[in-house]
Amino acid sequence: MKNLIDDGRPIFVQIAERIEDDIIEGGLPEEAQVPSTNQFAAFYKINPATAAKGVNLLVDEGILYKKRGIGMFVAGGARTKVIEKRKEQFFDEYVVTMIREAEKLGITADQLMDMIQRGDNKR
Amino acid sequence: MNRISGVLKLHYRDKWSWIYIPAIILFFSFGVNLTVSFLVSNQEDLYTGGISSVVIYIFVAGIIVVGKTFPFAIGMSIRRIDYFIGSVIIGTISSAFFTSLIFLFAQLEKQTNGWGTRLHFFYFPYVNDGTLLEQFILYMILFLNTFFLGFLISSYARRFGRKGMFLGAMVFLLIGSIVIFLLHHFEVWGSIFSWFASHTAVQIAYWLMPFTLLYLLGSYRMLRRAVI
Amino acid sequence: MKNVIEVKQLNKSYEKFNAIHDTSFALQANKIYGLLGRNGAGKTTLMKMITAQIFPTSGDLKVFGEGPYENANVLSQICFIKESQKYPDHYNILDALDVSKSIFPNWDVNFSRSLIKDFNLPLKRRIKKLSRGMLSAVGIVIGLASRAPLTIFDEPYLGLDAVSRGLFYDRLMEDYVEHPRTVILSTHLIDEVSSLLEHILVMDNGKLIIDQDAEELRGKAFTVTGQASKVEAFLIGKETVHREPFGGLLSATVIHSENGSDQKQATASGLEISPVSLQQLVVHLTSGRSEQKEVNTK
Repeated sequence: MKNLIDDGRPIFVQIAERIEDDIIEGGLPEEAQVPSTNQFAAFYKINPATAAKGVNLLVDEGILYKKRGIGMFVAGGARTKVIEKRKEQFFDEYVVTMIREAEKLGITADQLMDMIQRGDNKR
Repeated sequence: MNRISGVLKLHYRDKWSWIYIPAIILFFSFGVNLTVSFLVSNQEDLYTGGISSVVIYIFVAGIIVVGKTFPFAIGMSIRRIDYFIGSVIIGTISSAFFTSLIFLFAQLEKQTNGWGTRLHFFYFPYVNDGTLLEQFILYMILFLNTFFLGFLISSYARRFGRKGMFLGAMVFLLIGSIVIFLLHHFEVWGSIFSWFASHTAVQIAYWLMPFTLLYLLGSYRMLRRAVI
Repeated sequence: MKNVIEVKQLNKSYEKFNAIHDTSFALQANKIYGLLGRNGAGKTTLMKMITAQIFPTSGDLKVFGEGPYENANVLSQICFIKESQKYPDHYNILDALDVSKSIFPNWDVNFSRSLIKDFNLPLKRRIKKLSRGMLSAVGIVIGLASRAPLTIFDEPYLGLDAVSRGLFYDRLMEDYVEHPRTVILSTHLIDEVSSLLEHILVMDNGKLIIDQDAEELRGKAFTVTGQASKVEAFLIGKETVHREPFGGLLSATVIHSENGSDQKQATASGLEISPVSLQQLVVHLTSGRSEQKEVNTK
């Protein structure tokens, strides 16, 4: 089993994130077919209804679309959409948190920029 | 109907309890008695009660059957009525089997003049006095009655548990004692014995039938409310 | 969707003891339900009533739209495997399976064979002589291969090691996907099965305290940790299900508020947030009840 399932968060959100990751990383290019909910269920050992909920979340956001009787496919422009969404999340989850923590430790904005530089060099 | 056949299968899986063990008991007892009859002189008839071992066995089989199979049957979502009917059928089949066996050997015993040694194991005066059909019916009723009496006890135990068994035994003893006391008090023993003497074996057996029916009704009533 | 089980104000009381108290709920077709709760919470009693093995003291109970007692329509669709499932003494595994085959209309012979291989069961061995784990495995094989429209497993894994339990969950899910049916899993090992469950029922002291979609429940609570005074300030007006002091720190598990802004509020006041697993949540809800506060709606 993939180390995906974190029991403290809704699983369907995690499934949606998984699919998004795959879209960003190119594993699921546009117009590619997404695994069926049953395949998700079998692979991640989760309830198929939960998997369906995750997939439907992305359908609602226009990232996936349904071809009747065939399955789910990645929509055109899905990658850009997902990346935009992730950037927002990145800002909320990492940048804001980072600035708050920096404040706590008395790190100035300049020092913070410095640190980001150093981090980039270390890569 | 499908479910009743499930119950039959459930019971029939236990061929040892229904067929082999009682058959072994019967023929072992017969073998011992036959050997003894060879060893003693052939001058007089040798009577044995060996056949009662099977009757007792059938009684015990009735007593233990519910405890052995009811929790499994109900656990496998079988209806109580289906369990009851299936068990009645299997008890009847088993009774018929041993009745036929005894009937057959009784005729053989008669033909061979007690296996050449004047042994009476299957064939008795009085008991086997009636027609062939009557002889068959007699044993059939005897087995059914015995089995269903055991089945009633077993169903009662399932329904009311250990406490109920104790209470039931007490009540039974009490009533039994009172009845015996009354019989004694009013000196009716003599007329009871003469009643028995004035009836043939099969006539007496017929008198068991309403009791058998009562046992059946009673067992069903108990099982309907029994839990696991 | 049609309800498979409908229970209204069900009560079961023994002489001096209320095993089930005014319980009402409805289960929908083809979902996997988790029935959770501590030992003695009333889970087994509830399932035994659903399967007409014992009788309710009062209340209304419908299974597949009808009363289950002595009802062939209903009972033929149920397979209930309980921890204490009894088998006749002389039975070997094959006997138990053959009889099950003739009892359950949807029985799949090939599936039962493959399960027997999976669990390495010795067909000819007497059930009486099986280890506890093997005995459990026999129940699991019967429960799965019966493909009963309502399949109930009550703590079916006693004595099974983690590998075999994993096997059970895998086979259950694979077969469920192919042949959807209503499944009730009663278990202590919530962490192991939680991802399989679609809906959660939690019983405590004979009462149903949670009847909720698993996904909703998973996001329902979170834990905040930080300086005791700050945490206390944060907790005002919130439903706290558990608190655990540690030195000058306090760790508290709270239920999410409706608008979902409370996590931001917590990070803003410098508190650390961690997720709460279903297992932790259930443990908190069923053990720390004295600490539970009423929800303070403004």
